[in-house]
Amino acid sequence: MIRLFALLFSLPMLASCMQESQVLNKGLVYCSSGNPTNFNPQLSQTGDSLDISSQLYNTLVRLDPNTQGITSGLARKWHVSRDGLRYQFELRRGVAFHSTAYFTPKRTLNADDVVFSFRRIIHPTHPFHSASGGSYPFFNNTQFSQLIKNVKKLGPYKVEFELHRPDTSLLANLATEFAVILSAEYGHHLQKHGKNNQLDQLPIGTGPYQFKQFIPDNLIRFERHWGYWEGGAPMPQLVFDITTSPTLRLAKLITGECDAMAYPAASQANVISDHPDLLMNVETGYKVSYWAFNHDKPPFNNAQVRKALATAIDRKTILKAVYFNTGVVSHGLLPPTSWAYNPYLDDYAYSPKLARKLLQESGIKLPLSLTIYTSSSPEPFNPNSFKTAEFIQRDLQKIGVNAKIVVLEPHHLHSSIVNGEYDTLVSGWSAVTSDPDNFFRPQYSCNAIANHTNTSRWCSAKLDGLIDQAVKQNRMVPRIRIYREIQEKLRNHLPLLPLAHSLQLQAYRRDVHGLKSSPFGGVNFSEAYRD
Amino acid sequence: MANHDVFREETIRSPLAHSWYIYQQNTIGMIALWALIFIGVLALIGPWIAPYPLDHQDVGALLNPPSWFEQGEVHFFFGTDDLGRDLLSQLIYGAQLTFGGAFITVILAMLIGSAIGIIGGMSRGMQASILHHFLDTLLSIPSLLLAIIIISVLGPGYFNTLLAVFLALLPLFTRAVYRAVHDELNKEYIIALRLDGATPLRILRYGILPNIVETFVSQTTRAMTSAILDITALGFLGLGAQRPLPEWGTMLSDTMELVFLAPWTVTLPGLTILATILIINIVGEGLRQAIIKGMD
Amino acid sequence: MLIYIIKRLNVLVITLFLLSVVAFLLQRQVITDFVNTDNMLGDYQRYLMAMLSGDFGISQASGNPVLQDILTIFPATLELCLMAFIVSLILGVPFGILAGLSRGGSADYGIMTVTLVGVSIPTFWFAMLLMMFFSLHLGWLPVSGRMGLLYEIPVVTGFNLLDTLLSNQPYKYEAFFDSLQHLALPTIVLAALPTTEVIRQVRASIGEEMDKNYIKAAQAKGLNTFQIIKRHGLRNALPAVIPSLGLQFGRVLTTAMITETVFSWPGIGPWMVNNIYLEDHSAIQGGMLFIAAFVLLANMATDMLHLLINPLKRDELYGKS
Repeated sequence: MIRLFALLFSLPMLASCMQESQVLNKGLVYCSSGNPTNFNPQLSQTGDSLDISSQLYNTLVRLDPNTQGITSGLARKWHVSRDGLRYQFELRRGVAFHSTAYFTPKRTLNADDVVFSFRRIIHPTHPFHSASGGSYPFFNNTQFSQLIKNVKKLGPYKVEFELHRPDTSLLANLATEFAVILSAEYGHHLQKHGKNNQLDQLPIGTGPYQFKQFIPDNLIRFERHWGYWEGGAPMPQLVFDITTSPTLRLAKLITGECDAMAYPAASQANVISDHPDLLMNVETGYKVSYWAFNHDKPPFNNAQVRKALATAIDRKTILKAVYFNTGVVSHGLLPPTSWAYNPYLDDYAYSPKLARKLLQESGIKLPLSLTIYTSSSPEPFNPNSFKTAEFIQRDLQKIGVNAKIVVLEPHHLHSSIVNGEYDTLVSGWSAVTSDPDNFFRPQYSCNAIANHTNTSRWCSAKLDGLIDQAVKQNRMVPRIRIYREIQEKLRNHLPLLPLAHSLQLQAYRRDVHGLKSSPFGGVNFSEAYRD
Repeated sequence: MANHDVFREETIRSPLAHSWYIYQQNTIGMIALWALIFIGVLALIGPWIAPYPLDHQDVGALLNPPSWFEQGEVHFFFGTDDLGRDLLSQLIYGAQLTFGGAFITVILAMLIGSAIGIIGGMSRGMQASILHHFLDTLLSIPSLLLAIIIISVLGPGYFNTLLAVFLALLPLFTRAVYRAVHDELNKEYIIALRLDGATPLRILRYGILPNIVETFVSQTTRAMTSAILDITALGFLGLGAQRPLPEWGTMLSDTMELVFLAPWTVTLPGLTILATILIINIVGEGLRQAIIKGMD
Repeated sequence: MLIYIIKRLNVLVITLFLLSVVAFLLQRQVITDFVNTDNMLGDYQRYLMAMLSGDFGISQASGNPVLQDILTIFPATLELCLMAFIVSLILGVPFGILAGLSRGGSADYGIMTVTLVGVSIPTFWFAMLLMMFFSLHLGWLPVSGRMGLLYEIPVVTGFNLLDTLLSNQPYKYEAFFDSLQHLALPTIVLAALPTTEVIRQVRASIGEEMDKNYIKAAQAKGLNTFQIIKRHGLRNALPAVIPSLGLQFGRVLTTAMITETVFSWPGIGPWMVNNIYLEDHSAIQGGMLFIAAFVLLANMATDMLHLLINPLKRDELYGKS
């Protein structure tokens, strides 16, 4: 009997001794944060799709991680016409597509694939335009379709983008993880079988890993793409372990169930940097969280009221309590690392006394009550929007303003934003290029109200003019001057109060090497391996 | 007191008083009883004695460890959470939501459930048989599962949780009381009473009720523990009370995120729940034993 | 016996019928807000027919038929529950015997105290504590999932332990041990409840049997305690234990739903909670009917089994006791 007991209790111990094994050394596990809605980043703007993008696909041009300049990708070189209206790209030869259980390509990448990938987005009559919902958030936000007149093939390896007006941010946009190149051959194959939606569910790309299996809420399995044009990845297998809770992601990273994790919570930064087995990359991200005032709801169209409310907010405390100091207080919408950042802006310093005075002088009926809408989930730009709202509520209480917090699931929040139900909104923005246009156009332009990214719903023809003028200008110094002017205007009008810029964190185990991440989110495993 | 023992033989106590006397001999039981009363008082007057108001946030003291740690401070005895809220105050307020909520729910379920049980038990025939089998089946679905099912209809929320737990507890009381009444009814002394011409109400008052006290006590204890476990579990799953309500289970799920940074925000609410349930179980078991002995 | 089965089936059908009405009203309220009450009966009839043919509708979240979703994830839950029952027998029987033999002694007192804590501890907190200690502090066991994700095991039965052994991967034994490791913590958490039940049962029946005369006779014959327990005590105790475990199935299943949420075990618990969040009504209805029906059927099966192996109980049924 006793011997039986001893045996039973020793079983789990035995098992735990067997951890060193061959299989585990032949792959990497990444704890990702959620289910991707599909496997085509063109159609999506969430972090989960971003994480997938660089494993499966490549883009025409890329961002150099050190200089933030544009370098070659699938396009070997490119040429911009003198008037800034034509961009010609010359493609690399011999770039192989994935060969999987569901599709075997017969040819390598050529101009048709590029034309197919972009016409799908800009031509409403394209057979694949409305497949998988037909919504292209990134391209909508950057008003891509309004910019591109045509994408045409000039030769088997030569493509031209023709523009309606000059736009210096085009290359930066093409370098994002959203502007991926799909396989035209695969598209035609699916069309023949009437399975257009499959294009975005069972992906074929040119990236270092190819798709193998997806079990929702559980895992995504990739296998090495031997024919990858930059050389096969070091690891034969890559698995995304879908784990929504950040605590659990960190727990798995600590136990070694994951080799790297997506979006560590701000509160975890200290734990990670103190842990002997873990490493952390820190970069200032191109992200900002803000508190927007709905201009459709008086009295928030009154600049005096907005300034009073802004002065009441103690942003340093929010940074400390919500961001655990993994970020910087935002002065203006641009992060300090941006080349267009205006360091001379004086800001709305925290002063409840001044706030009360401003509010009394504004001439509106007091006491003021307002609603603060916010999301219940952590966002890349804000680790805890609800907590942020709670701090704003507390600060407002001090100046006698009564705030009611409405916290909603992301999809419910989105419909509230569409309907403009809120008085104020705690939200934010994750830029996907380093170009300042990617901050100002989505947040402040009139067109962006219909795209639901301009949440203050403030429309000014004058500001729109400045934003357009800036992208037409291809010389740096005048461009910077225009952006400084924009920032001053925004500071004076204050459609929204920028709160903080979060840091981009990336945590992984010490034995993992070659992991690449970008300041815009997203991770790249093409050279990653474990000792 | 010594004279108690001397005169013990001469006093004739009612069975209930005698049971109480037996219970008093149970030291652990008495400690648990006092602890239970203490929790009850906390639930009742918590808001007046909590060191800080519910919405108090001290931004200068985020994630302070409990006072017995080196960096802890005495005025945040159990430490603070990530919003600078005092954990002790939160737990005291939570007593009202978790313990108080469970208590009211159980009392209501006991009154209504027992009433149905007594009516069912006193009646006979088809109606009783259907009730009996229906309850049997319903009871084979555990209370938490029933509560989850009811929540999935009503939607998450604290009030809905209480309602769901109440509905899930009803059959527990109904069946137990029904059984007890049914069993008593078949005994000879009741038949004798009936032959004497006693009305059903009289039979109930003098014949049956005193004899099913034990059932009441053990069912109430069971219901109380399962109500607390269910309310906290639903809170933990995010289906019950929502933040900022400091319901104990909700607190736990809220602080899951801090498990690496501030383990006390996880251990202390959990220990509170465990202690409360242990106390109820000890008191309930003690009372049951005492009543069984006292009735003999 | 037949009459009894029919009776039980009757009640089962009535209960499921009532549940289906609730589920139907839930769906209706959402879709039509009770606008047209006239063709309610007709609607319900159609709905019931769909349910009976196993058509629970399409899950809005996954886009698959609800029943298909349930059938893919349910084996994970079932595997966990079965493991918990096995562990509860392995732990519960010896400790129950120990407690039963030393009734009133210190071993009994100790075991019963631990048992009391076992029924009082909130499942989710227990799970979190184990996870904090064994996984994060000691690093012995994984914190979540059914198996290391780098292992690729084709699904045959849905039971991971079986599937690993059935597969022809070169690493199948390694994968088997890996899934055992993943099972360890959730199983311990889940086994807490049935183990206390087994201990109580075994303790009670051993205590009872040991006072009986035939045991004294056996002692007089010179059998030692171990032999007596093996030959007489257990033979009388076990038949009572197994059915009582069956009746625990519902509670274990519910506890499993919470345990799964903590350990992100891909079973019915997280699935159900997630669907309640997403307000995916066809999935909620399907899940609720499925779980309820499963629990009720399991209980009924236990009762039947009990009747078959225990003739005394059969007499009770006909009022002969």
